[in-house]
This record gives sequence, C-alpha cells and structure tokens, in this order.
Amino acid sequence: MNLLHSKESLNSYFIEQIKDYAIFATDTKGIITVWNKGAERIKGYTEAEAIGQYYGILHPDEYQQAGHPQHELEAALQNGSYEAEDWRKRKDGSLFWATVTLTPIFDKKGKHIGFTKITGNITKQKELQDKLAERQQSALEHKNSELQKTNLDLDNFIYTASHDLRSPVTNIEALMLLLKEDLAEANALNDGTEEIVQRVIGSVNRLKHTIEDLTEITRLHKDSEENLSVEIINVQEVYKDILADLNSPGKQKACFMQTDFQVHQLQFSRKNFRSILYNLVSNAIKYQAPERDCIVRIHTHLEEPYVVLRVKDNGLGMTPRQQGQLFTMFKRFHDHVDGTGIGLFMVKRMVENAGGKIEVESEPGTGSEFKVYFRADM
Amino acid sequence: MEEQSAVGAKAEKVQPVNTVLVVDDEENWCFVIKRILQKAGVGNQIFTANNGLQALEKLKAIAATNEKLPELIFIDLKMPVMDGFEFLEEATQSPELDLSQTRIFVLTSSMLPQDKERANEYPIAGFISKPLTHQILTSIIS
Repeated sequence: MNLLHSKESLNSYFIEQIKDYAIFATDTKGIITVWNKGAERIKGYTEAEAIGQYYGILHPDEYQQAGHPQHELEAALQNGSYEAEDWRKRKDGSLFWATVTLTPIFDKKGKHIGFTKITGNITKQKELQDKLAERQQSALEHKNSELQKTNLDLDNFIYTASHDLRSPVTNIEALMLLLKEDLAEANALNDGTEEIVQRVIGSVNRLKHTIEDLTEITRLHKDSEENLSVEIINVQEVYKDILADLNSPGKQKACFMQTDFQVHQLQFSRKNFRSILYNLVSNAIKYQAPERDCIVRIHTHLEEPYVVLRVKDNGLGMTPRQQGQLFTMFKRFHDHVDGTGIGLFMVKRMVENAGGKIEVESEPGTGSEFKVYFRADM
Repeated sequence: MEEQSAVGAKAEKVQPVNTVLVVDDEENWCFVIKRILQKAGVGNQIFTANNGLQALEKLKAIAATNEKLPELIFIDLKMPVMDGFEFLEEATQSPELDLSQTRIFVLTSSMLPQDKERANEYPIAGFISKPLTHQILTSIIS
C-alpha cells in the first residue's frame, strides 16, 4: 500500500465514519453527491436515498418554499462560506436545531465544482441555552418585582417617616411660639431668651424643610410612574411667576437678570418646569460672588431634538470635584446659604424622567452654566 | 397658605363659640390647640378626645343631655382606634347628632393631597395643616 493510497482511503473512511456530524457534498446545483454515516444518523436518509436528491429536502418545508436552500448556496459562493444555527428537517419530518457550515469547493484550476456541508445536531445545547435563558429571565423578573416592592416599601417608609416626623416637629414649633408668647407676657423675654427661642424655631424650620423635601422625593417618584400631566407651557410666564417668589428680602444683593427666550413654548409638566427653573435661578442668585455684581442669564433655544434651557451666572463657580457630586442628594457646597441640598438632585430626576438631560460647566471664581435639555418631540 | 385662605372663605356666618372639641391622639397637640384657643379667648369650654371613638362618644353624651353640641371641632386624621375619616363618616351619618351648628376642621400633619380630597367629601369647614397658630385660628373665627 503506497502512502498516497493510504492517505486517500483514510480521508474517505474518516469522513464516512464520523457519526456526530452530517458531512455531505453536492454539485454546483445542490444535488447530493457524497453522504456520510453521520448524515444518515442525523438526517435519517440512507446514502442510497440521499444521493441524487436536491439538498433542500433537508430544510423545513417553509424554508424550502421561501427558497432558503438556494439563497444559502448563493451566499456561500459569494462569501466563501455560509454558517448558521437554524432548524433542519429529518426524513421523518421532525425538526432539530443545527449548526451548519456550507462551503463551496473548487478544482485545481479554480473552477467551482460543488459544495460541502457539515451539519451538527445541537438541539440539546439549544434546549440547555433556552432553559438557561428562561431561568435567567425568570430570575430577572423575580429580581425586578423584588426591586419594585422594595421601592414601594421605601416610598411608604419615607412617607410614613416624614409624616410621623412632621407631627412632633410642628408640635415643637407650636410649643415654642406659645412659650415665646408666655415669656413676653411675663416680661421674661429678653435678648438672650428671645435668641434661644428663635434659634430653636430656626432649627425646627430646617428640619421641617428636610422632611418636606423627603416627601417631595417620593412624590416625584410616584409622578414618574404615573406620568405627569404634560402641557404646553409659556416659558416667559413661568419665569415671571418665579421672579415674584425670588424677590424675597434676603441678605444678598439683587441680581441683574437677562433673558433671551428663543423658544417661547415648551411641552412639559408645568409644575416640574417651574421647579427646575426656580431651582436653577435661585441657585444662581444664592451662590453669587460677593466681590462683583451678580448677573444671571437665562436663555432658551432649539437644539434638535431638544429645547435647551440655559441658566448662566457669574457667581462662585465649582471645582470639578464639586461638579461630580452636584446632583447627589443632600449635597451642599456652601454653608452660608439656606437649603437642604436636594434641589439639583430633584431637577436632574425630573429632567431625566422625562427623557431629557442636564449638563453643567463651571469654574471656581468665574461662574456656572447649567444646560437643561428637554425633549422637543414629546 | 392655601389651607388658610380656604378656611377664611368658609368662615362667613360666624356663630359665637361656646364649646370646642379637640380630637388628637397626641397629648401635646391637645395641649397646644387648647392653649391657642384659650389665649385667643375662643370657647368657654374645651373638651379633648384622643381618638375618633372617644370624640363620638363625647358628642353623643352631650346630645343625650339635650345640651348644645360644640360649635367647633378640630380633628386629626391619623389616630388609633378610630381615625378622623371614620369619625367624619360616623358623626355625619349619626341620627343622634345634629351638626348643623358645628364647624368641623380637619387639623393634620398629613401632606397628602389624597387626604385633603377625601376629607373634603365630608361637610367639613376646612382642612388645616399643622401647626395651628394664633393667626390661622383668628382667620377661622373672624
């Protein structure tokens, strides 16, 4: 037996006797010319039955009707091979999930002479994969419902806590007012005692605000789930409305306000838009630089697909580190102004809940610029 | 602020206040409300009850002696045994109680709009957020 002969017979035996993969060859038209044991085992056709048949009989009926077998031959020829994981049909009509590789074969001169096809039965793997995916999906759903429950619990907890906290806190406030009146009536209210009473009332008020903010967060959460009533709002109108609230007598200087509303109307929740504008403008005023006149510029313009609200100030500004923490809950960078540090957290949440985004640019000593992007296509 | 003006609007025909009933499970609130009433000179007699049931029993006891029911009632919402809503339901349905001369104010720490809506389903004279202050009381009485 010469070496060449043994190599050829080895090749043919090797292919013929592979049992776990169907290996067969076709001519250029897809007519089966070679059929191995594995093909017989996987597909159910004997060699005698298969040879001479169009290989499309191995596809599910609807694939045959849709011309898939021919398309796959063309794709293999065009791209050098065709690989897929897909359904294939056995002789008895049953289907199995297969990994298939269809490769064109050429003679020594480069002439296309046919195709080889290797098909593996991976139904078991697919079943396992499907089962795994199903398990993952149900685990995910379980986790999700747990999360929703936790969120609800948290909301309920915050609500109850804020209610239960508010009652004794307002009671202290009322008691302090009574005490102050009693002291005054008894002529016992001097500068010292009055200051103490005022400081207690001040602390109580701060605590009340914190509690109100907590309640506001849960409200926001509920709103996002229940979809706020969106309406067409007039930017100028809302601006004028908040100006009235901003004009409270404070220790700080008045600011020069410049407005340029290129977009006059906006579709959004009125309540939330007011809150966003109020927070940004009041922050700009609050964090003004004492050494220069405070200027706040408020602009709107269109930047498809967004309406952009810009609030720019020449105030204290922020370091990059501060900017990173800007939108977290209860974060305040300066203690010379009132506030609980919840405003920007809520602004961000309101904007993002409605599909928008918020950006900030700031430099210490120069000022800050906030840009709120409202979706214009809603 | 909203509550105050709403209250003010309803206080048109003012009856002289002789008796007041304060219903709150927190003793400190009963004390504060009582003191504010006394300071403002509102009510010759101030009763307190710690829940809706006590309040209902008190009112029925007064009605049984043919005495006049309180002209003013301040009632909290969240209370054990019988809460403010249950009290409103029972009191306004009770054939024994003629509340035509009584103004009922809900006085609560609740900030839930739902609570206000629900309370407004009953014939109440106003919904006040705690704390009750001298100014708010005056705006109710005047």
